[in-house]
Amino acid sequence: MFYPGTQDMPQTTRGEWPFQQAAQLPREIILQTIGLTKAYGKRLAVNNLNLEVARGEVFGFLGPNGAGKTTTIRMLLHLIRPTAGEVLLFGEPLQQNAHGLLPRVGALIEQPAFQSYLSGRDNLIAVGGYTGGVSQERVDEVLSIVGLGERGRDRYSTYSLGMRQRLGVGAALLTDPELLILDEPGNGLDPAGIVEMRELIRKLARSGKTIFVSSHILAEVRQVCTRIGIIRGGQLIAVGGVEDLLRSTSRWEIEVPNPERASQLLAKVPILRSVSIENGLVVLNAPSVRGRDLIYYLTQNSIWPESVKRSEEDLEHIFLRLTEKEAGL
Amino acid sequence: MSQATWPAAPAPFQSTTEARTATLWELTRNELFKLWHRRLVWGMLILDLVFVFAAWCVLVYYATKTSDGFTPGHLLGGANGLSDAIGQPMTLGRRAGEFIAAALGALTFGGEFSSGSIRLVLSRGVNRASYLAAKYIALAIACVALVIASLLMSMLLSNFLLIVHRPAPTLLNLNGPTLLAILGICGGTLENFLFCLLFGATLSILARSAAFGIAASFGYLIGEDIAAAVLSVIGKSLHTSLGNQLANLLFTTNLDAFYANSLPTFLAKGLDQLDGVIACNLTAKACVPVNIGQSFAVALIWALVLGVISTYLFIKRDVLQ
Repeated sequence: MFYPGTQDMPQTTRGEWPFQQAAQLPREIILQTIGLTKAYGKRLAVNNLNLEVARGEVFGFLGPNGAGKTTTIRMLLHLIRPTAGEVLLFGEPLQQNAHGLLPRVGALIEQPAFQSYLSGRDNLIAVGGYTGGVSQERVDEVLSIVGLGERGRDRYSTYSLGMRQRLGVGAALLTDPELLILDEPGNGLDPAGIVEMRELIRKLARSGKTIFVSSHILAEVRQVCTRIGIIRGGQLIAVGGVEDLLRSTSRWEIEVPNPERASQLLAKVPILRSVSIENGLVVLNAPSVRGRDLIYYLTQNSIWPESVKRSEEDLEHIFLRLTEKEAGL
Repeated sequence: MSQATWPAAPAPFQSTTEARTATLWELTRNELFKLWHRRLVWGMLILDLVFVFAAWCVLVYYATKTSDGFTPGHLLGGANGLSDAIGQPMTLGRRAGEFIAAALGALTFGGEFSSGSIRLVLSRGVNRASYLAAKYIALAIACVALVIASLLMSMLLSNFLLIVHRPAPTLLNLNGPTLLAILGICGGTLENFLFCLLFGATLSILARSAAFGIAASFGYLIGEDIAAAVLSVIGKSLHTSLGNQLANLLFTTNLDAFYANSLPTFLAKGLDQLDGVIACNLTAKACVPVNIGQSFAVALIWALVLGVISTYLFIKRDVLQ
């Protein structure tokens, strides 16, 4: 298995650039959109969206208000029909087999909406009924998972926004779906609730669930997601691993005794975007580069760095920069 | 040395069910579960019974005031005494039932759109046509319960007539023709409720709003009486078969004719003010016999039109809530 933090040092011939592509495991695509488009009159809410989410991934879906996130999610759940393009769930077209595929998906869409006259518990029983029914034990189990064990028998109308949100997540988990689609799961939760929700998402991810999460809280996305996609004006403007995205603007500052020699050496490495010397430091714009690779390469060439420091752009700044750039701001 | 492995996280829960779409029966049962737990439904049922009781009180009051009410040939006397005693409160209470059925239809569908809970249902992969059918079946069962409750209430109350007058018709007088007349009233009432239900539901689906469904269907039910009388007169004044047919097609939407002719004339004549039926209108000296086949056909056409509209809108339209 390929786990974070367990990779061995790359084996290279002495003095060669050690950076290599991480071994690509075959990805089973659980969710895919192909040229997905939705138009309301002349306005394109979603425009030619191509997404792929592999099994086991936690995919963050980011975008400013009105970017097309909710429209996309509604199309993923067959609530609205695309004008063009298609959605594939578990490799099958959703349009042709929605009834067979959607029971394998758990979803929380925007604000949770349940029957106000039923208790939280009865609401879950009713939701379970849409997929053939769930046991009482299962309902109680889910209520305790989302922290509503004590209030399960209270009427939904008496719930706070945070409790409603928890119940919405509970409904999504009820049938133990393979794919979870969560739209702003932290909405309305207090700080402690947000932390709990984050932990729950991590736990679900570790247990093998595929999670598609839409959120505007970038820090949260960074903490739970393995890949993210950024949508603006209905178009996907960036997609990739969170760390990749952060690394795409990575600036490295290397302190070495002989910066000119190090600079000349590093300039020969094609993967580095730019190499310069600033205030006696070798400065690299080096996306997709790991610090240990730099150190290894330099030491293999008898250059012993005093320090290697990466200063990365915050995800929030990346998001703003990308969305503003696309909007022409 | 063995390679370090990432600790396996315990699964937060184990799968207990096989995810699949519910069948029509399961969906119907689910809808009945929701209706059963809805206090509003019980409140409406009680309201209907209150109307039946109020109607019974009014009838008894007028019958005792004139004393003629219990004599043969009058409201609560003679061979038709029992069917009148049971049928009259039901017929009067039915007016409330029509509003209740329309409101129930509008609230059940429109409420899901207004609250947004419809997206939770449909995002589970539930077949839209099945869901719609399940809701209609559950609501139809609620309407049957409404009619049965009204009937039982009316039958129970009829026995209390002995308190205010002897001899008075009681359930002991129940015989074949009386039972048939009562069943006819129940059948017509149920048909009427189902029509109102369909009407309220279709309007709420059309506007995706419970409030609109209730307001528009109530408007129709109130306006129906006025329009029926007016159009009936207009139809007759035109002296054209088309005018009469148009009026019939527009307003003979129930099976009143089925039992109108089984009731004494004076009782049947009163139906127009309650239902706006053309069979017995204000200008007619007696009930105009309406072909039962036509009544069925008209009711069926209305049901089909409303059913097709609501089904098409429910299945084909995007869920934007």
